[in-house]
This record gives sequence, C-alpha cells and structure tokens, in this order.
Amino acid sequence: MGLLKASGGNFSPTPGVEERASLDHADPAVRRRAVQALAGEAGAVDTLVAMLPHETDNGVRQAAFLALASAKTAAAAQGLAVLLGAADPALRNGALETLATMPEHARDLLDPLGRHADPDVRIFAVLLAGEIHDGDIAQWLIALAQAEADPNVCSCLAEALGGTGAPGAGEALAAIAARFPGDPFLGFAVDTALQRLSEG
Amino acid sequence: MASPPQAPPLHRIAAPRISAEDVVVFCDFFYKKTGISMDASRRYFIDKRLEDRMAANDCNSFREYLSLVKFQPGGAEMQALINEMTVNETYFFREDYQFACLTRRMLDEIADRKDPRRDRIRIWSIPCSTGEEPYSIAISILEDWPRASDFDIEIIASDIDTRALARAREGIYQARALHRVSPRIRDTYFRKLDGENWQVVPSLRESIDFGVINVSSPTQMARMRGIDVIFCRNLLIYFDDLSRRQTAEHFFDALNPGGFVALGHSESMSRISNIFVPRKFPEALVHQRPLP
Ligand SMILES: C[S@@+](CC[C@H](N)C(=O)[O-])C[C@H]1O[C@@H](n2cnc3c(N)ncnc32)[C@H](O)[C@@H]1O
Repeated sequence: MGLLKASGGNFSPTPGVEERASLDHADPAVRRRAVQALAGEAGAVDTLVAMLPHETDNGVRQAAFLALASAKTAAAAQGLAVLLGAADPALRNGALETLATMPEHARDLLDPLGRHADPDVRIFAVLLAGEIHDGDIAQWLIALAQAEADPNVCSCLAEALGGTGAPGAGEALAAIAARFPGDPFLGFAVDTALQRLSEG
Repeated sequence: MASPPQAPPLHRIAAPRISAEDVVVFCDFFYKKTGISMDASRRYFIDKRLEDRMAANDCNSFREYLSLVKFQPGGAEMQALINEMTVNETYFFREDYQFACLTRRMLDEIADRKDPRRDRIRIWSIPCSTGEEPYSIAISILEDWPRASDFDIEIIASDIDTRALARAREGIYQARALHRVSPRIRDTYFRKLDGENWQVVPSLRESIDFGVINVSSPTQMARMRGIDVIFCRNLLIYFDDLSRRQTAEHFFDALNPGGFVALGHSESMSRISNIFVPRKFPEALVHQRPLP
C-alpha cells in the first residue's frame, strides 16, 4: 500500500473486455469508441451527420462534432449546416460551433443559410458570420439586412452590424429601424448598434 | 563609451538557409506531429533551432533536412527536433493549490468509490517535463493525504520530450527548481550531492512511472485508460483550438467516470469543451468526467 513501484513506462491499462464498437450500442462509452473509429473513413461524414440527431449523450455528440471539425471538408460543413435546422438547441449550438472552426468552408454556406425559410436558421447564419473574420462578411450582412423581414433575425443582424465598423453598416441599420417603426425592442437594438459604430 | 559595432559571426553572414515559406511548411508539419502551434512570430526561435539541427546532420537545405526528419527509420531526428523545440520550464510545487485540492478533496472522493483491497488509484502527470510536477504530487500525497497507506497509488508521468524524461528519471535538481521546497521536505525527500545539486531519494524516484507519450497521437493516447486524476498543466497554451479539443476528448476516454482533470491557471476548459463538469472546490477549479 502507498505509492507503487513503477512498472517501467509500459502503461498497460487495467485489462477490460473491449466490446466491439457499434453506433447503436446501449453504452455511450461504446458509441463514443464507434464514432472515434470512423475518423478518416470514407462516408464517415454522412454517418456522423445522420447519427447526431438521434444521439442524446453529450460525450458521444462531442466526439462526433470533433470528428467533423477534424475532417474540415466542404462535405462536413454542409452536413453541419443541415443540423442548424434541428429542433434541439444543444445540437444546433454544437453544429454552429463546429462550423465556426472551418471558416473556409462555412463562408460558402452563408448565402444559402441566409435565404433559408426558417428564421432560426437565418439567425444561425448571422451568428456564424460573426465568427468568420473575413473582410467581406460585413457586405454580406449589409446585403441580408436590406430585405430581412423577420424582427428576430433583424435584431441579431443589428448586433452583428454594430460590431463590423464597416461603411454602409449605418444605413443598413437605419433601414432595419425604418422597417419596424413600432417595435421598441428593435429600435433599442439598432440604437445600441449605431452607438457602437460611432464609438468605432 | 559605446564600443564599435562588431562583425557578426561568420555563420550569420551566410545567406539564410531557411526561407519564410520553409518556416510555414515546418510549422504545419510540426503542428500535425505534436499539436504545438507555432507561428512566424517565433521565427527567431524556430530558425535558430532548425539551423542547429541542420548543422548537426550536415544538411545543406531545409528540404533535405525535412525529408530526413520525415523518412528516417526509427525517427531519431524527429525526436531530437522535438526535444529542441519544446519549452520545459517547470519547478517543484508550481500552482500547489491544486495539490492541496488533490489531497483534501479529489482523492477522498475517488477513494470512496474504490475497494482498497482490489482497486488502485491512478494519477497521471502529462506533460511532466523534467519531473518536478510528478515528484511534487508524490510528496504531497505522502505528506498530506492521511489515507495514502490504505491504497495502492500509481503515479504515471509522461512527456513528448525524451531528454526531459531522462532528467526526470535522474531526479537531480538545483536551487532554481527547488525554490518552493521547504528545508524539511528537502531533507526528507532529497539527498545533497554537492554544493549545487540535490537528488530525489531512490524510493521516490522508483515510484514514478516515467514514459514517452505524445498527447497528439491517438494510438499512444488509446493506451491510457483507467486514470483517476490527470494533471495537464501548461501544455494546452502551446496548442490551437482543435488540438486542445482533441486532447480534452482523449483525457475523457483515459479517465474513469468521476475522474478529474486539473489544468494550468491560464487554461480554461470551458473554452475548450463541454464534456467535463466543472467542480469548484475551495482550493481550485477542476474538471470532472461525469459519473453515469
Ligand atoms: C512548460 S512544460 C509544463 C510542465 C509541467 N506540467 C508544469 O506545469 O510545470 C511543457 C511540456 O510539454 C511538453 N509537450 C509539448 N508537446 C507535447 C505533446 N504533444 N505531448 C506531450 N508533451 C508535450 C514539452 O516537452 C514540455 O516538457
């Protein structure tokens, strides 16, 4: 008892029965291993995107998101974009965070996401744009602000525009305010954004 | 009076053999191998070390050197390069509030879930650098955990740097590393070799299981399972977000449910991953793999 003598750096893990990993196993630890075993395999992205909406364990989900982040491909980004429309907020947030790790692919998805019929997805598009530090993101936000009719998307746009400091952001904000004259919350969001712009 | 400018040493006059592009290629390669994210802002640090390794191997170009590193059987030069590039700064009882948290809180929680006749407690220091951290853990347990003699306790210590590990096994330290060690602890766990050097006593050296592990290697990390506490301090600061997240996932798998991770004070798990549960103890914030 007390400190054990070293065994010589061979670190054999305490032996246990390794079960064959399967994505629909009852034990989340086994599902995690199955997800990790997919890394680098052809078709892994599709499998991961298909399993994520049914997976409830956070540890398994995070392993899947990490596998997608590590794949860093256009296909992974597209799969993640689909998950932005999911009903579960944790799933949508995970997809958003993971997309933000691959700006080079996420950038190409902003246009279709910004035109999505579901305003929640458009909000995610605006949040995602805020994570991508790229010169023409401000222009994309300004263009979206021209016609966006949903007040929740607009308040999110106002916040993003306030952070850009781009020429033209002020007019875009004014256009948003003019579109919802009776909405005090939006008026407040626009004023705050204009103030941030003026403070530079 | 200012002295006249001196001619630079000859090897500095020679045309630079490492170009800006070479540095980019090198940083990318090194990142993929180790997870360590270096950028051009460390250009001087990188050039200097690369030049030294190229000279040691009689390589005339960076390309020639890179293919040696990549394709040499056995990978000795890759290891030499890693040993050169790592930052090994460490000392005894660094951020010792975490060791207080270990002996006052974490170990009791872990012990309460174990059967001392059958189960060990396994603690892992990664990266251990030249050994000060795992020895500090061992001393803290022997000194401050009243149940230490009721359990079999295994302390594993790993690093990617083989030269640092060799020094850790040898266990010889000077005043700088020992500045936070009290005279009583020093006299109990060290032997004075000469005016400057103190060596950890053999029984303590033998109780730390030192070995090479690269946390960015999934195959090496897969060997680590059944750990109860991981100390991973002052490593993730050298990584980018993706390698940090991968490391967090590996730690999750290495830990038993309910096991803990302690990070360095400037490293924040909440910004890396949400798979651990934050546990705020009076001494320290640590991260726990959830119990089922
Ligand atoms: C600053 S020391 C930290 C030592 C100790 N944990 C402390 O906090 O005092 C960083 C160590 O990380 C090691 N290291 C860097 N990359 C590593 C990797 N991929 N795997 C394992 N160790 C690594 C280096 O060799 C170095 O010894």
